[in-house]
Amino acid sequence: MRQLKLLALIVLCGAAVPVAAQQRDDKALAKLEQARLANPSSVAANRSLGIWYYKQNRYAEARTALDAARRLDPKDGVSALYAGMAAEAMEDYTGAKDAYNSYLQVGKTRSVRNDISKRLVALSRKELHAAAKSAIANESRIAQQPGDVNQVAVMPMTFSGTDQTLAPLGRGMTDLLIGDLARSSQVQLLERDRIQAIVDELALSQAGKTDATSSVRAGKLVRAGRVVQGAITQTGSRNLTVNAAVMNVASSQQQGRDVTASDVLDQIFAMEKNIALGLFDQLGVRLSAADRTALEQRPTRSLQAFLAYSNGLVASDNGNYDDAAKFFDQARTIDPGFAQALQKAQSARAAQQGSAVTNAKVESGLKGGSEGAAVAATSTTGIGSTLANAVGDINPSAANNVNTSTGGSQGGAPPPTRDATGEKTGTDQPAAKTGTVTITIKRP
Amino acid sequence: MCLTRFALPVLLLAAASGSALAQGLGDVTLAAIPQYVSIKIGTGASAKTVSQFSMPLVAVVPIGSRFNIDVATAYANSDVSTNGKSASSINGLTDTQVRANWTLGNDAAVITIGVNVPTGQYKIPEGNAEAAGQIGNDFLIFPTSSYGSGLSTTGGLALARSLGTWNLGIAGSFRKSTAFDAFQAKNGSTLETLTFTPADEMRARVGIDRAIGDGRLSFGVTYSSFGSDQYLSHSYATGDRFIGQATLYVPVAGTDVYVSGWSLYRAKGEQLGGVSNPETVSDGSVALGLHVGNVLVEPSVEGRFWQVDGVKAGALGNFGGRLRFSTGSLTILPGFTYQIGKLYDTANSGVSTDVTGWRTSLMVRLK
Repeated sequence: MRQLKLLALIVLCGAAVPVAAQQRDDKALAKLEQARLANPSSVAANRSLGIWYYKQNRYAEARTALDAARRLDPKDGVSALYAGMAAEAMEDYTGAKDAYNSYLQVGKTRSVRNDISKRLVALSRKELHAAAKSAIANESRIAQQPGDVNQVAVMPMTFSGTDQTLAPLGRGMTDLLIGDLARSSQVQLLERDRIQAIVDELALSQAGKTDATSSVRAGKLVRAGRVVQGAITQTGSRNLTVNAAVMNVASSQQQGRDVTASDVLDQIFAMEKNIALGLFDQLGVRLSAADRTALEQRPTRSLQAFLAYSNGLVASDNGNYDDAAKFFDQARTIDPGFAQALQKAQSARAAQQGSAVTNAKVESGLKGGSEGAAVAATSTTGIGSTLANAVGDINPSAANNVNTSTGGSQGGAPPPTRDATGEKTGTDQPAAKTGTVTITIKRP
Repeated sequence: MCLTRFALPVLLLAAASGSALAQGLGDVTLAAIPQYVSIKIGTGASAKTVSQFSMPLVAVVPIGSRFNIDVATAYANSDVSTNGKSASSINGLTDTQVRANWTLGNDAAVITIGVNVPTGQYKIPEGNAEAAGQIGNDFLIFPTSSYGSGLSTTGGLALARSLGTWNLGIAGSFRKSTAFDAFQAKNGSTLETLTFTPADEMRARVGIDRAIGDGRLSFGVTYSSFGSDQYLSHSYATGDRFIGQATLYVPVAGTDVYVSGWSLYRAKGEQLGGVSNPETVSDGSVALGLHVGNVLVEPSVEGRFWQVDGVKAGALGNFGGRLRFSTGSLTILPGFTYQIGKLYDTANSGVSTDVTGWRTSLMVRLK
């Protein structure tokens, strides 16, 4: 019976805790709202309210309050940081990037700035895919707005053949073509990542449907005036044929004729140059002598390095940054002069590290600094620090010192525990003492 | 045995770090806090110098959002020398504290459980007893104040709630201690082990705090009540302790300002050979946090006063500075403090001894 009563008491206590927490949340919100109403131009009041909403997963309300704090004080890094996290939670990656970039400018906590820098790299892919989804959702409206004819989108090249280890060459060839076509100032090439995101969202590459209709559709979604589509076909064990064509997005018609190059696999870089030159003709671009000289430059002459690089692009497009970094490193190992591989490896590594930066890690990084103190002082009611102080004093440990805030001199805290033996024997007294101590040990 | 004592804290720290790695280092904090303190008491040939090198090692491992475990231990080398000659010294690992905290509700309560694992120094020979004891002084305050206090467990509960603009925190804990072999002393030709059993301790704490703009003001009082220590088959009453604390943090025009004070009162108790008079240690400090590029520069001034049975026993001024900067996931806090003061003879008014010292530290935190 007694045990039953105890059990009932425990259950009641367990039920009471969430109820009490809910009541306190309501009170905290009322208090924070009241504080902002009393002083709407207070950065601290707006920031506190915003952080409270953020911690309650009420992101839209959090952004409203945090953006108000940012307008009042553009140098308030904490507001920018939380605004970024709230925007990211709402999948507004452009807003998140803007807020995070503000934090990089004005934020005071270096470790958090490092984390945010890496996170921004990882955020780019999310942003591109979110933009692609949004474009597809608004396709009927976007399709009515013709893109600039000078805006050119190069679609990912498809690969068909028996040796599927060569399939990544499609991504690599696309990357090279974009680089070469961009050498002319008469056309503006859209970023490969952006086009890939649209293609992925349309699931074109998986289905292999890069026909004229689907390419034009993708071109409309990225607001391109013209698109380049192409295919690599393996012919025989060591031979390739590369085809490419320019499509006019507005008319949905091919512009000019097909461009084709065929050769052995080892001549892939020469084939790419021929295709690039052919595409310039179809795009109506007349190259200067300087442009032609620049076009001869090759990022690498190693097929194996290029294949590893292409594999890296595929892994990166799929969000597998760890694999991507390894492939780019491999390309760099095979050809140490492959500068693009180094750049992509660094980017993939940063994206990988950025993916591992959780909100909890960012918030944890603030602790112990002045920005952490600002969060503790203003977020909700600071009840967490009230509890932490209480626990630190009733069950002290050296771990208390690790997360202490800044300030206070060394040794500026009271001794957390007594040295019982020193106290009892008097050996803890600094001044010399003299005397005689007689210890009597009774005979048993 | 010695190997086991060394291996245990290493294993506990490794287990904590291993758990850290398993969930990704992002949520975990590891820290090493090497410190060196040297305090000279008196002048001339009779001057006594108490010095200590201490290297606390800490791992804090959150497991989910509501539970965390921390493990802390230290290596310390303490020495008492007179006229430049070492008179007593002790070195080795200290005990290891393992603590688990479980948060209930939305920061409504925390259940805390701690175990003091006896990995430190025990059976301290007579010649090392002075060095082991001097570091426990509540006025001078050394980074490591004890090498070993036996196996003990602490259980506690902390509650917090808002009352208007203030937060109220109430907490209580109970520590159950067990006997340990404190000293070894010669009794004639035989070596005797002297067993010590620390009194059980009950602690209670009440604290209040509130936001002040972007800053915070807090007050707290901690009360500790003890039973009797058992030593050499005798019971010795231990005076209760009160600690009052107040802290204010407020940013002013881009500079962080910290003002803090604390006072420790220990009531009358008993000790070997007589009475342990009541004593009070009071401390006040002011520190600034100046943001210079990516470095936080923290100059500080601190004053400390000691009274025994209502009579002035010591005064100490600390003048120091600390830097704080981060590189990658590392936060580094090098610091230096110069100390100057006096110890007063409580029996002979007007007789005093000069005290000078310095302390330096380098906290390295990986988060």
